[in-house]
Amino acid sequence: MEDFRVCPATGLKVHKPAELLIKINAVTAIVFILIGGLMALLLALTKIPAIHLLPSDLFYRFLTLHGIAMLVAWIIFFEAAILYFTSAVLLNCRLAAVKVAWLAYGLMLGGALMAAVEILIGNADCMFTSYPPLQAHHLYYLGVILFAVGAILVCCVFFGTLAVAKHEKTYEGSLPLVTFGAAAAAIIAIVTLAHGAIIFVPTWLWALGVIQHIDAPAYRLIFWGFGHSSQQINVCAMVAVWYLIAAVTVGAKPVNQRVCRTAFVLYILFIDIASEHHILVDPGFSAAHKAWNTGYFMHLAVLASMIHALAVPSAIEIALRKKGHTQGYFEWLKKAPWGNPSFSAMVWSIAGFGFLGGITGVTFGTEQINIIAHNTWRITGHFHSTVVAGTTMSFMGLTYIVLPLIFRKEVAFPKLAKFQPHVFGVGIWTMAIFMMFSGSFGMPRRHWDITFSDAAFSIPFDQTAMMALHIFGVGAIIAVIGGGMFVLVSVATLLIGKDIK
Amino acid sequence: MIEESKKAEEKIPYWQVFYDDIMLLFFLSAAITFISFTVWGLMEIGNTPVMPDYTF
Amino acid sequence: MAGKNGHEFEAPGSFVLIMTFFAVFVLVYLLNWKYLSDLWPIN
Repeated sequence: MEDFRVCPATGLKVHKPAELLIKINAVTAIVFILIGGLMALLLALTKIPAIHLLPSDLFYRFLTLHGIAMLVAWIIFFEAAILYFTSAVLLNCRLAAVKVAWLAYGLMLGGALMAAVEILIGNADCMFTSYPPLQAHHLYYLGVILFAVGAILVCCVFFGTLAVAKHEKTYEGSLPLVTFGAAAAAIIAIVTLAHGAIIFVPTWLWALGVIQHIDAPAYRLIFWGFGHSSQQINVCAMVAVWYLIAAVTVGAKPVNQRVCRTAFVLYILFIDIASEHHILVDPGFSAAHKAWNTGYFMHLAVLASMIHALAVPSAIEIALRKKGHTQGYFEWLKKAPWGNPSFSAMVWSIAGFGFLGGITGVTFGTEQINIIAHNTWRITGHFHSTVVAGTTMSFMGLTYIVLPLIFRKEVAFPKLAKFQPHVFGVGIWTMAIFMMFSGSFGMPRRHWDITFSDAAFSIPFDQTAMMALHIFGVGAIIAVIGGGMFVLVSVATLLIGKDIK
Repeated sequence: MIEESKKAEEKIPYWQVFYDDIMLLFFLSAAITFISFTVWGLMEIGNTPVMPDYTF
Repeated sequence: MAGKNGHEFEAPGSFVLIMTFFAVFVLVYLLNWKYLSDLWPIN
C-alpha cells in the first residue's frame, strides 16, 4: 500500500509510480510543444509575404521539425500520460509493468531526440511525410521507429493495467466511459503503429543501402495508414478528454452510455480507413478502392463524431440545468464556468473540431471535391483545425485539471490561465480559417515561395488570397502567444506553484 | 422471485458483452483496416501494369 | 419546452446548437460542390 496515495479531492487511490510516469510524460510533451511552437512562429513569419523570414532550406527543415515535434512528440507523449491516467488512476489500481513503461518513455524520448537532431543538422529535409525518393539519413528513420516501438509499449502497459484492474476487481461491470474511450484510442494506436513499422523498417533499410528501391505509391498507401490514423488516435483521446473535463468541471454525466460507447466502437472499427483521403488523387488506385474507403464504412465513423457532438454538449447542458440555469435555451451556456480554463478550452475544442475540422474534413474527403482541395493550403487549414483547435486545445484543458490533481500544485498566474484558451482559440481559428480561405484560391501547401517569385513564368494569385495570407499571419502570431501563455503557466506552476496539501 | 430478479440482473446484454471484449474489438479494427485499406490497396498497386520502355 | 408526452426536452439549447452545426455542414458541402461545378462545367 505504500505505493499508493489517496487523492483528497476525488478520493481516488493513486499509484505513485504511475503518477510519476504521468508527470514525466506530460512535462516532456510540454517541452516538445515549446519546440514545435517556436518552429510554428518562424514558419508563419515566412509564409507572410511581407516578411518571408527564413531561407528555403531552413523553411523545409523547420517544417519537418514542426511536424515531428507537434504531430508526433507533443501529442503522443501527452497521450501516454492520458493512457496511464485513465487506466491506473481512474480504475484505482496499480500500473502494470512499470519498468516497461519507463523503457517505453526512454525509447520515445531517445527516438524523438534522434529524429530531431537529424532534422536540425540537415540530414532529414524530407518533411514529416518523408516520401521516397526523398531520402533522409538512416538515423532519422531509426529515431521514428524507436519512438513507435515505445508508443506500442505504452499501449501494452495500458492494456496490461486494464487486465490488472479486472483481475483485482477495482471496478465493476464495464469500463468507465472515459477509460473505454482511451482503450479505443489505444486499439487504433496499435493498428496505426503496425502500419508505421511495416513502412518505416524497409525505408530505414533503404536508407542504409540494404534495399535498393522503395515503391512510391506503396509507401504513400502504408505511410498514410500510419500518418492519418495517428490523428484518429487523437480524435478518440480528445473525445475521451471532453467527457472527462465535462465530468470534472460541471459534473456532467453521459446522457446515454450505450450510445456513447457505440460511437467509440464505430471509431474503433471504421475510422482508420479514412487514411484514403491522402491518396484520392493517386493514379494507382481504383475508383472502387477510393469510394469504398472514403464512403460507406468511413461515414459510420463520421456518425460517431455526430453522436459525440450531440452527447457532450447535452450532458453539459443537463448538468448545468440541474444547477438551476433553466431560463430559455441558453442561460446554461451564459452561466457556464467560463473562468475555468479547463472548461473554456473544452468548449473551444468541441467547437473547433466540429465546425472547422469536422465539416471541412468530411467535405475535402469527398472524392470529387478533394480534387480541388488536394495539396492546397485548405488541407493544412483543415488539419490545424482538428489537431490544434481540437486535440491540442482539449489537452491544454486537461492540463489545468492534471496540474492540481496529479502534480498537486495550484495553477500559477490564474488570471493568465483564465484567458489563455481564449487567446489561443481566437488565434488558431483565425489562422486555420484564413489558411483554408487562401487555399481555396489555389494557394499550395508545403511551399516556401508562395508567390512563386523565382518561377520562370508568373503565377499571379488573387489579391484576396494575398490579403488572407496576412490575416493568417496575425492569427498565427496570436496562437503562438496563446501557446506561449500555456507553456508559461504550466512551467511556472511546476516551478513556483503553491503545493496543495 | 428473488433468484429470478438476480438472474435478470446478471444477464448482460449481447452488445455489452461485445463492447467489453477489447481483444475482439482490436481484432476487428485491425482486420477491417488491413483488408479494406492496406491489402486491397497493395493488390491494386501490384496489378498496375509496368510502363513499357519507350525509346525516343 | 414540454414534449407531446409531457416530458421535458432536457437539452433544447444543445439541440439548437447541433441544428446550427448541421446547417453549416450542409452549406459548406453545397458551396464546395458549387465551386467544383464552376471550375469544371459539364457541357
